[in-house]
Amino acid sequence: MKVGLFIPCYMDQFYPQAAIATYRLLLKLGCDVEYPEGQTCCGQPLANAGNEAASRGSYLHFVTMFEKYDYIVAPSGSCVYHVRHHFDTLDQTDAVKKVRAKTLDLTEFLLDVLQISSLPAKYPHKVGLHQSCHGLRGLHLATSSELVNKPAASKLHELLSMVEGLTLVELDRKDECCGFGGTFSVKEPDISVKMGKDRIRDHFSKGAEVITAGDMSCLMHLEGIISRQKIPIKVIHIAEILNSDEI
Amino acid sequence: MPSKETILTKIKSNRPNLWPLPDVPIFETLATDKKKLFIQILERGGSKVHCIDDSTQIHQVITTHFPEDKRMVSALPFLEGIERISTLHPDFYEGTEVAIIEGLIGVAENGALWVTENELGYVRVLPFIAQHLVMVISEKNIVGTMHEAYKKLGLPTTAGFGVFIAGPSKTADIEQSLVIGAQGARSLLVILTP
Amino acid sequence: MMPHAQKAAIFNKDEARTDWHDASLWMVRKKRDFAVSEIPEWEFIREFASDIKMHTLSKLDDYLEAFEKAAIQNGAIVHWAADAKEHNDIVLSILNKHQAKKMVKSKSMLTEECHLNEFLELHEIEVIDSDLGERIIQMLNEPPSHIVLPAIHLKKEEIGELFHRELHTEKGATDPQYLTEAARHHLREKFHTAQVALTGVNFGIAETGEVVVCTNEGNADMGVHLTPVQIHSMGIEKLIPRRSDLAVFTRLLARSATGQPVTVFTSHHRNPKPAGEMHIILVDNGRTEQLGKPDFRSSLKCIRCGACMNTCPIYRRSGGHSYETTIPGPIGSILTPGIDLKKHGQLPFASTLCGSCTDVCPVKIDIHTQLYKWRQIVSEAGLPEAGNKTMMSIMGNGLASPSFFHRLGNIGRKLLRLFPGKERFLSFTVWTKDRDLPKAPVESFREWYAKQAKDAQ
Repeated sequence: MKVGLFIPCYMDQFYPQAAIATYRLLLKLGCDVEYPEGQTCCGQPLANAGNEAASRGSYLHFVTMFEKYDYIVAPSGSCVYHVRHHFDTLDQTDAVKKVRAKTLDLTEFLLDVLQISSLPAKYPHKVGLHQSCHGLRGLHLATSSELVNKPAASKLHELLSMVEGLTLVELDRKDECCGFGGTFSVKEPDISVKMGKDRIRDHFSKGAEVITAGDMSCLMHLEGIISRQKIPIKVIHIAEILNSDEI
Repeated sequence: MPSKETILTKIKSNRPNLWPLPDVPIFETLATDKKKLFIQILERGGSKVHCIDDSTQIHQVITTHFPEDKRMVSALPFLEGIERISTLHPDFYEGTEVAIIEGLIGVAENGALWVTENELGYVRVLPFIAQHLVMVISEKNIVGTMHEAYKKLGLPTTAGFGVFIAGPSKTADIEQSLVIGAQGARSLLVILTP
Repeated sequence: MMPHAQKAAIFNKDEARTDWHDASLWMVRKKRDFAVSEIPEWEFIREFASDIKMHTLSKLDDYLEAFEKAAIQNGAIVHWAADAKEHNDIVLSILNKHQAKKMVKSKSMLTEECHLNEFLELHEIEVIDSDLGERIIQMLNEPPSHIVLPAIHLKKEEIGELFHRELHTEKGATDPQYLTEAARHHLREKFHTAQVALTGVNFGIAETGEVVVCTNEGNADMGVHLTPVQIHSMGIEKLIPRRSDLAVFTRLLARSATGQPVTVFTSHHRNPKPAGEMHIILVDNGRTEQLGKPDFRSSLKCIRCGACMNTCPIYRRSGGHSYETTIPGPIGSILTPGIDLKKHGQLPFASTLCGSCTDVCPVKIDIHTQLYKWRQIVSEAGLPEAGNKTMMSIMGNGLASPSFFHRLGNIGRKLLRLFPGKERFLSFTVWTKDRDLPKAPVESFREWYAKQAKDAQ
């Protein structure tokens, strides 16, 4: 089984440690994983800004880059959602269909494909889990709080429960949006920041030392506010926790 | 072209392909004791419920709840000494302190009681204009859900007006603070007969 | 028109008030969560509701004709209005026919959409909104900021002051019970003196010709039963085929809207009262247009519960007035661009596409997907909200080219390394107004990976 690793553009440049953790975790779990160096972007930033047509080139490039892999894994529910959901505007060739079906978020891949039930990870901290919206409501990595009577399984919870020493804090609003929203963060900066502040306050007031999520973009936004307001809390991608062996 | 034709023509050219109409099952309540649920939901919504063993006790329950000598109007035929509905002129009923009417169906899941203008003697305004409302219903007529209620109701035959009433009139339009007694009745007393 | 972002920024200047607004609506959302949790088949009911509405839309012409026929048989008078103007003219003609100068009106978003009040006032008709929240904002000469909770943006102190001025309540009185009581007395008098009552319609039933009106205050019924002439203004999408379908919708509506198991009053009006007159006005006003847009027609399933507003993190923190539409919030942002793209084309961008609106919607409208699709249309129309088209196209080509992409990324990161903390001098001003940029690492993942691969050889 050959796994192609997709690393979102901003992670590549600004959060290499989360990408490295993803890569190492997959290696640790015995995957034959490769990072195709010609990869660029899934096209989401332009498309969400209303320029789907302009992002077609990057869609096609994504398909070309990744069609040879059995699975395409990305530590980002948002990019994965975009590929799975919005590549529907391409001609549905076999390659496109395959890439759409086989592109998985890291957490889905670990639980649904590798079917792991334990991890050699240790992270003795109080952690607040931010459910990123695209992963939550787009990929159904958990049941959103709006829905009734579906199994309340959450992939991120399940994985974090495998980590030794980790305590999850209970939030007032377990899946409210952080306010990043890509283009939204700069089109509506005031509300975007206000939403982020409110999320951070929820985590911080419950005693979380660290906020984690499956999407680094949410965390980048939250980190920007945390840093500006000098709040003693950190952000960390879930891959880094799952790959951690902190003693 | 008159607007009716314009609208219908536009719909014909713009409507989607035929979408099947689902058969909706009659979902029933999971509650084993419908009466208990009915009372519980009514009370949660700010209503009072009084259970009696015999309909001869209705009069007494009403006078116990409303001891003051104020205008009461009944749409029930058998309450002696209480003003019966008479004229159809709605303004006549302004100043009614207590209106007494019969509910035909009670719905356990939401505490709603169904009444039509037939039970109101065609005085449609009565349950709304009175300061306080008393509804008498037999516990035999309690169903679990709205599905069961509409199944029992069927299509309207004679009544030109029917309403589900699920409590006293209320509002939360000022800072989401619940206030009982907005434009309609300030209280609802449900008398449950056998 | 001021951009939503700017209005939102103004709203957010008073952060304590923003928190209060957010908390009020979040409380409604939590009540809704509790209410829906009591129905184990909730998700099935949503599906049925969606299917019933889609079915109705697919045969809307047939159902409208059936509805009209039944309503006429019942003794109602049915009118058809192609647009807001025709609707308003019809209402005025009914008022004139009865030489009526005073009309009580219960909540109707349709008449807001048609700007009926302003129109009738021009013709010297006194219109009294009889829902408490509506009456409050009418006295303030403001539009509703929410479709179910029209005065949710106001504090009781402000309402107290207004009532002191208008209804002569005690100065400084703010108790909601007291203020509601004052409004009750004020409105009672109006109900008795008005000659005509107008209501909105929650559901029209094709098989019986009935109109169903849901309220908590009982104000719609007070108006309808106390005045000789009743008018029901109804958007054509309000139809449902069967009376039994009401079971589905009454279970969904109040639970979604306020977290009540059902509205206090669910009134079924079939025929006029003795010696009375009953009018039903069927209004298009852009609905048939929306029906012709395959990506957006399902927005017509909306039953106006307001749940998408209560759940929307942006609505809660910007207030309904920031949208400058009759129907604010997520649903408004997919309904209004179809009416005026230039004016409302910015609204699909007032969203993070978090999808909470879609999951909360009782009739399963894919609101966030439609927001995304409207963005594409706004862009194709060349409106500035979507950015400069040529620039976007250059960006698009760049994103498809590995060499361009890598160079650009590296330049960005290295600039940040050269000027740490000085981002404000770079053109990141919007991001960095209240946020820092990430600390740029020494090397990118790509660089790290390349080294790894080299070391491995």
